[in-house]
Amino acid sequence: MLQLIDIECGYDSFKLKIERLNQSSPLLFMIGPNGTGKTTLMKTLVGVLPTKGGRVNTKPCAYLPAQHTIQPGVTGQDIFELYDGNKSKWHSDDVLHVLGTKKLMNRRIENLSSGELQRVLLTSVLSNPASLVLLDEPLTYLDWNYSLRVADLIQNQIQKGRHFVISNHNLSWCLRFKTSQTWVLYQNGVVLDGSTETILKHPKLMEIFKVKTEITDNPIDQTKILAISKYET
Amino acid sequence: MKTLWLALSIVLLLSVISLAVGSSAVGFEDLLAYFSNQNLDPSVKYIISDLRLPRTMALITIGMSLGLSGVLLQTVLDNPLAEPYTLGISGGAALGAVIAIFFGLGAIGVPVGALVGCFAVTIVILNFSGSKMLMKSRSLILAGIMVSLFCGAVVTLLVSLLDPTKIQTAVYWMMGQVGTTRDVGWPALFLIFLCVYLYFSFQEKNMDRLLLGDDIAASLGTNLNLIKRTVIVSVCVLTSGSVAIAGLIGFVGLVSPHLSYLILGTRRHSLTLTLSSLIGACLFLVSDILARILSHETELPSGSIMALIGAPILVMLMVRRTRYATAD
Repeated sequence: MLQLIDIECGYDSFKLKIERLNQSSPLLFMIGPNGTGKTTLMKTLVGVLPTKGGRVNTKPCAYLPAQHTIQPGVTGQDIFELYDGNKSKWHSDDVLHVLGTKKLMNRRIENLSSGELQRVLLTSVLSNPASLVLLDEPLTYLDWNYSLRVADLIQNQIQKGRHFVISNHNLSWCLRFKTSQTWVLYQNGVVLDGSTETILKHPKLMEIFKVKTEITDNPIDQTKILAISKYET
Repeated sequence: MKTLWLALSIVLLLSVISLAVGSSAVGFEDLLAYFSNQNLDPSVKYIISDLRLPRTMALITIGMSLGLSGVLLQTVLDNPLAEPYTLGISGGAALGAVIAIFFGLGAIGVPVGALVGCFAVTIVILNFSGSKMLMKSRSLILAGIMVSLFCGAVVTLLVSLLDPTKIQTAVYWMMGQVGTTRDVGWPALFLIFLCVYLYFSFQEKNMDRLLLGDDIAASLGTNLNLIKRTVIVSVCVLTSGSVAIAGLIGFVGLVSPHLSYLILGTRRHSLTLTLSSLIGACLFLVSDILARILSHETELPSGSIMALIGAPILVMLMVRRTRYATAD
């Protein structure tokens, strides 16, 4: 699992410092207000951005960027094959079926809607053979139904021994998973680290996000949801 | 695969036509006699083996080099308009050549000047953009265009200062022309082309991954800096070789990749590297054959014929952009 020691990364205008952090649960969420370095940390873990000193142990990994720069003319099948989806150890047929992407694979990316492309990308990333998966805001563009399906797929793959690092803003979605760990990024570092439920009850959380939060029961199924409201000082 | 064999046969067919067409009366019958080892008039023999054969080979080699350069640059720079011109490499070559003409350096001086110009520009651009900016392809193109504009301005100034006898040499150089004594340099360029072609055929998967964008490519294990630098250096060598033989040839590098995406319906490099090279050879052969047929007295520069064919094709492609891959 992920282990970060003495990381210093980022750009000239934005630096991120991490002394020592361990992933203790196979499912790790990174949350934080906009511009606190979630994507920067992801890119550093993947190896797209360099670190000044320190160590990260993430190779090889399957990575879904927050924003894609795929060139026009590329098809879904191209993406799937280049992510080595054919060599998957994680039942790529199931993934294709659950995300409904079989029919989309022959289309060029410019002929797909944003949500369809996101599903094609998720299919490819989840089919990559690496046992560590990094997803940067995987729910972007997805409708409600597919958001829940992605959660099921991830839960399944965790049971088969896969590890996930996911940055996300929808905390109710995060609470659908039985156990998970959460890092809160704020002010150039990770300020909170713990199980997701305890983090979401932490008094500092409201200060960081400037919203009121409360965990309640989901009246439809047995999960929890995070209710939020405007923060009055 | 069928498409590739078809393209190869067209190249061979055009080569035969190219060997049989020209300002002298040597035609298909002489060609047949030449290849069946019959006794021929020495002057006919000379025209085929010493003039048209190197010319045809130069056309094929340069066309393939520019077609290959176009694919490599368009993928690496994530820009459908990328070709050796965009990086300013051709501009540098023109400047080097015109400086050589300006100082009255002879037949060897001009291609050497072009080579020096190409490499100077590439070194400048690579240093300009540094390793950080190299990751951002748009800054690289911006640097290239700036260098291009600068070289263009110096070239215009120098040409306006040239005396009239030299102006024709300079102008012909800038329009692109085969059929000169420099044609014999083709084997060297062909060897370079072969090395570059084989290397990137071997790197096919890394090139394909670049199509998914830098971040995904890097996460899948592609060494971005290495492959980008290799592409730029290879294109520089191929372009300077082409320029040294035939001067400035536009449009081949731009149009050939787009035609190959259109025909193949894919951007995967296993096929486009080969097809774009072959299409480049076809386009250059056709334009030079046309240049020879259209005028018997003085030969037209095939580079300008190429632009005459290339420009409408490009516009047509841009109008029909929904059917193939173009950015934005």
